Amino acid sequence: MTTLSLVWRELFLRKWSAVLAVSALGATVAAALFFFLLARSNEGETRILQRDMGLNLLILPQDTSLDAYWAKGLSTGSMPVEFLTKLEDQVVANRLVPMIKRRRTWQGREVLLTGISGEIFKQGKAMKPVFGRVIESGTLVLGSEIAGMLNLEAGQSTELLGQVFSIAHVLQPVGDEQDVQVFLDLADAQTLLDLEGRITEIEALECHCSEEVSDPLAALRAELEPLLPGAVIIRRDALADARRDQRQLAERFLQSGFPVIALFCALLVGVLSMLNVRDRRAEIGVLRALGKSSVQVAGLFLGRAVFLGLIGGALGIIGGGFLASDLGTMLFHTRAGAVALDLDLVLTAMFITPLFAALASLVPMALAVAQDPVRILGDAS
Amino acid sequence: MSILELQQGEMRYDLRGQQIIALPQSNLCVEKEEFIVVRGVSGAGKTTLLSILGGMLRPTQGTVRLGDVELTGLNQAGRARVRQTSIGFVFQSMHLLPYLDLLDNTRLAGGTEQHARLLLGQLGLGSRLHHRPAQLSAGERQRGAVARALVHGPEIVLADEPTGNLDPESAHLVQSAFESFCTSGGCLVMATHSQESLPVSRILHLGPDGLHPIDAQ
Repeated sequence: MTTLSLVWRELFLRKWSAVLAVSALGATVAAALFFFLLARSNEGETRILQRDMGLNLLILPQDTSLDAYWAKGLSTGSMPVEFLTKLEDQVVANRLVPMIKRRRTWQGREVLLTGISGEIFKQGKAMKPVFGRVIESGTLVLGSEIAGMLNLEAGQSTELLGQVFSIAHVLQPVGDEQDVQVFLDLADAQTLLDLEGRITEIEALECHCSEEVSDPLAALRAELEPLLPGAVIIRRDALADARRDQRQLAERFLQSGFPVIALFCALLVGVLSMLNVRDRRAEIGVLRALGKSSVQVAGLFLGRAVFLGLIGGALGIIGGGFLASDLGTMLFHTRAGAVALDLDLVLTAMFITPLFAALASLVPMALAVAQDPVRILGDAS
Repeated sequence: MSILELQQGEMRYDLRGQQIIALPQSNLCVEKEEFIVVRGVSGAGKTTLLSILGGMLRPTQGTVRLGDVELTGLNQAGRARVRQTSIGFVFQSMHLLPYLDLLDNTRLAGGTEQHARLLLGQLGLGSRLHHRPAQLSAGERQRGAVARALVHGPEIVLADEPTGNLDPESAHLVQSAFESFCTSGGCLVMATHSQESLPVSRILHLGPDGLHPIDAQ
């Protein structure tokens, strides 16, 4: 009679015990996954919220006078657009947004013309469009206030500095300078403002990622100044520090909270498996008395643990994924995509659950197998 | 030459500082085709004696030899290998696996399905082959345990109170199976506290001073 056959028959006879064991394993895995997915999505959502807080790093042209910059909200100088390509291989400045800013009078109002690249660049690669859409050449995107003042709406055509543009979009009011800005394609702005091949500033996200940096500005300058000689580098400290602190908090939550939950779940799985072996000590004694080898006896118990672990793991993955996507999104208002399971996580759970169950069975089983059969039977009866 | 030999076997253990003698120093030689009964009061050490003879318990003193093999010199795995091929054991508590039917419980010890069916039939269990232990009476379980001890054709069977739960008719079936086993070349040591007269080779009494012959029929 094969070990597999014995495992199957035992499971079949004690089906409710097996169902309970699988349920407990599944619930444990589901709880661990639920927590992990929520913690991970919290980390991701934190990043998104922080991104939406705005960019915290400014790169300005050489000789920019900062008093004039803060007074006017722009630099009067300019720098070559090729500066962007020089930032391809560094990592401290992320999500680069090249732009041109100039103040002009338009239809009797002073507006801040902002030529902006349709895309954010990250290490030279095209990333996400600004405002969620690309600003097409020949179009304008207007701040809400300036559109209201000039009675302009999306779809209309209008003239700006002698050139006709159509209004692609009017932004929602946000309560800052954006409400009076006129956005246009960076190349259009370069032509319109006689700044071919030039930009006036680059906004970016500072990224020291998880490392602790005592003087972030010095670190930024040390990294960027050799690439952009003469450029003025400004860090918006309050925003950057708030971002860093919040990001680190989310990371700590994941890094410290999850191991505690995982350990607790592992202990629970272990206790369940140990109890099963303890309950079946007499069986170990009989099999040993009949001359079955320790490998054969181990196969019987480990086979059961692995089998139940696989089923429990699979159910836990389904349950944990469902809980996270359903309950998690409802309770924590995260996006369903942020709590989605990935293949690595599924494979890890499917590997770890039977492994823990088997390891937990191994200790009491090894202790029992090492004893004389009569002693096991005596203890068990 | 004896098949099984116990020389100066003794089992002691310590219970909260008090020395307990589970088996007083004993000697026993079991010859081929012998059917030996060991009698003694409860607690005399009959189960301990059988466990030591079967290599399931290592005595604190003395040696056990099965044929050319000294069981007491083997480790756990070695003794298990010997048990699997050469020793059959009938436990007092039967210890059938609850999730196997009678046929599979019998075959757990080895042997062929045909032999298992034959033995179970001889023991009056031909109609109970596919019943699990919980669906059998105590007497049926006991006979099933006897079949399991005989199925792999061991050299020696050690039976601990194998007729304790049996009615006279069933006890007779077991007795016949044991006699048949011995006449076909095996040998058997049976522990019992029953005083019933049995057609055996030797009857020994296990007392505080060890094993002594009582009678022979």
